[in-house]
Amino acid sequence: MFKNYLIIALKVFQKRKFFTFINLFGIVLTMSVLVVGLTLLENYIYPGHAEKNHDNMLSVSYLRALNKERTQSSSSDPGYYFLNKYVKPLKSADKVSIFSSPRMVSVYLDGQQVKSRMRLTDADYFSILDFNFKQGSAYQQDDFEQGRSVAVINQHTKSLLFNDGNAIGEKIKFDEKVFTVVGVVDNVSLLEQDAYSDIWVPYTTAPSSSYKTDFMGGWGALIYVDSEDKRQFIQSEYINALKNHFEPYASTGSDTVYATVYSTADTKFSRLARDINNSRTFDTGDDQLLLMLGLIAIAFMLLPSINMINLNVSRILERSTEIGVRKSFGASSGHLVIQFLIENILLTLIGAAVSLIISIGILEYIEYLGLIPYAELSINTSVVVITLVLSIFFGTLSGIYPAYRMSKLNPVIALKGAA
Amino acid sequence: MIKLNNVNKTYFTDKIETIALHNISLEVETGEFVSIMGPSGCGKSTLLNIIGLLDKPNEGSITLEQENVEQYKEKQLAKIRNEKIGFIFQGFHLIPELRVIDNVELPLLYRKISSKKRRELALEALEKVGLSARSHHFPSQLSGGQQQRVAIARAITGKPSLLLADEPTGNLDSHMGDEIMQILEDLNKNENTTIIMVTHDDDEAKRTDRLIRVFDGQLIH
Repeated sequence: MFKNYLIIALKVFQKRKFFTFINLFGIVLTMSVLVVGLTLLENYIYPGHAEKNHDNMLSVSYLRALNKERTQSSSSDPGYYFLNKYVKPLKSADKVSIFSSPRMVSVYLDGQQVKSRMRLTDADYFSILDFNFKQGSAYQQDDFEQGRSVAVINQHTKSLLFNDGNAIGEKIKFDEKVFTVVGVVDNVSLLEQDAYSDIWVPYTTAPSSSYKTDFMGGWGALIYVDSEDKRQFIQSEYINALKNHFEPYASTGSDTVYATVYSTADTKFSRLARDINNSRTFDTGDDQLLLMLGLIAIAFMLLPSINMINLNVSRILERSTEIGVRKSFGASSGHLVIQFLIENILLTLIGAAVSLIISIGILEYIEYLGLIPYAELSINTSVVVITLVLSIFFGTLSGIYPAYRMSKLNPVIALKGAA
Repeated sequence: MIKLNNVNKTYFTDKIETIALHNISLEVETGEFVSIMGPSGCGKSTLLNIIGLLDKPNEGSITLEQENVEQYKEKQLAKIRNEKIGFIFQGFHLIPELRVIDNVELPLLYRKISSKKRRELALEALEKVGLSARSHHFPSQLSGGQQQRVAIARAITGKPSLLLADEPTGNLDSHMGDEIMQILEDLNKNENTTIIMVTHDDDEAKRTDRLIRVFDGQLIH
């Protein structure tokens, strides 16, 4: 029976080329946008390179501080002082790393100047993140404590400065200081926000130690736990620490005294949720983001669905003789609903397959344009599965009503082709 | 085999009420070959549709093989149509996208039988109408007579006890029409299939066991 339905479906698509094209066009357009969006989201939430142990990591990247009267507030990424005082001492954390946001520096080598992003980190940074070292290794705790001028660079920077040769032991100069390259790592995409940079150096090499008193701005922290179960525990521990043990902080350069702070230890998803929801409390709004993504997907699919419903209903007349014949020979309404649903779902599945191919092209073009630095955007199995599930949902959604209408045709009228 | 008792059928449109059948009582025995004749619009096709359970009467009862089908739901009627009735239409009504063999298999799709068995039964039916060599052709590659033979094969592939033919030779020349009549006669004689056929052709009607005349929705005795 299934084979018969498939043959009929494919023949109908072939015969009604314009109808098939219009329907496929709508599906492909919608699904391609969804696939590209899903791939970007998937690459962000489930990174595969340096942040691949994301299930064991929490990130502190946001701080909002208010005065006692709650009349003044500031929010940005946290400062070193804040992270060192409230994140570093968390008891349940197995490791904590504090690092700066990347900033642009001009790197000099033999009169050559290269613009690169540079991040200040501690030594634990490299034990929490899983960088792929192509040459050398990370700087060690001893290098960090002694403030040695050592640097890890990425493959891109190495190619710019040293071509294909060995970079280990080479000297590079920036911020009026000379650094010895000790490691070369694979490029890490901007989507891996805490790992992304071109150059990493110990923050103990910073020209000034003024960062140590910064309450807000310019820094982030990664918390590593050896089991996923501990993540929630740490999140609560951190919030409790801020709620119960926060000591009012007098902002330098102004009269403001911060009495209340909001900050959370986020998973990749909750960090995205907060950014999108612009959440300013301890609740990052994960549920709202999930709901929003679901609604966007449905709203997005609704338009081509309505288009398909419209086209399918108008095609009832064309198929009425076939419906009449099938009913005469014993097809029940259920049989016909299934037949037309299979037809519709097959069309959306073809659309999904075409969308996946087109999306590969779009993603390669995004990589080519460098819109997301160092991104290697590939469509993985979960995106393919989600796309296929969505297309089946989409096919059912747009097919059920026309299929029901067709199945309810009076066979006598249908046989006359006068439905 | 089939019994109609005081069957009435009226069609209602906005303001017009059209009586299609009026107090029809009719009994057809198993193995009979009955023809129905009458002028256009007299209710022949409506009668055939009601016998074939494609349409429901407003009043009266229908008994098919001792089963009173009056109160049957759509799904039950579909099952009876599938197992007990075969239809042959004037316009053949083959599905152009499907090959001959797939068209013939169509009634069997709605039964729980394997695809292998379906194929066997369809080929058997095609053999009976002498078209097994054309099983992989498409309907458009066949002549009108051949298409109607395929339609007959489709009607008999599920081995129904009742065949309903609505002007089966109406679209064919006399030679092809004769071939179709011959097949129907063979089915009736050799397999004891009950056949009810609507026709406009006196010669064809004479070849059947009994002629029923319909005029203005009533039987004329």
